[in-house]
Amino acid sequence: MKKTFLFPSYFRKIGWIISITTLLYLLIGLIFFADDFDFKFIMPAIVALGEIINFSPETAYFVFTETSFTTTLFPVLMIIGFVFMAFSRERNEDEYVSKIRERALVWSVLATCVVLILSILLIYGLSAFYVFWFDFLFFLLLFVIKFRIDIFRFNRSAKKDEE
Amino acid sequence: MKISQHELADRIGVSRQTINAIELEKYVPSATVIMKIAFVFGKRVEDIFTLEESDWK
Repeated sequence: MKKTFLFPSYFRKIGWIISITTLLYLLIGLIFFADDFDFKFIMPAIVALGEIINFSPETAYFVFTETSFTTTLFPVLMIIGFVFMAFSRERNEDEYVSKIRERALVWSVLATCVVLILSILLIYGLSAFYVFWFDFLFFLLLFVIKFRIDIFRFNRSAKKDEE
Repeated sequence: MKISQHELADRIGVSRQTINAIELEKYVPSATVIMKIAFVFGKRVEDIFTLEESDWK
């Protein structure tokens, strides 16, 4: 069998744990602690907003900038968690499972493109910035849902036939 | 030769569900799997798999 780029199957569990904890942290933080949970820290940046001159921020290059959990760690952890969930080997991995994965991938890329086009046309301003990385998360989420439904059906079909 | 889906699946290295899907004609397996199935049954590929009219369309 050819080598795939998939993670070992136990990575799916790790992915679930990472994304659920991150999401819970954000939700509980937002609901009960307002902005306090959103800890800030300093990160090196290639491009950042520098000093504000005449009310408009200047662009600065290769500087240290202050950032927070929701704008950096949250999306990074969510992407890592979702990627582990989406691209781990199945326990009964074989060529049919690969085919199901491929179909789910095409389906979710197409659906994401539709959502992306709609959001480009309908969402403007600062929110548009968030939409782009959120759309990537949406793609991974959609793929995970579609793939799991298809795998569930695949497993069930064989059980039904047995009865 | 009597063999269960499970045994066949184990011997050729695919899941039982895949063998089931092949039997139900829901899935056309790869050449490797086709040849492995023929090998397990000690037959030629043509004795187990045949082309249908719809395969040419």
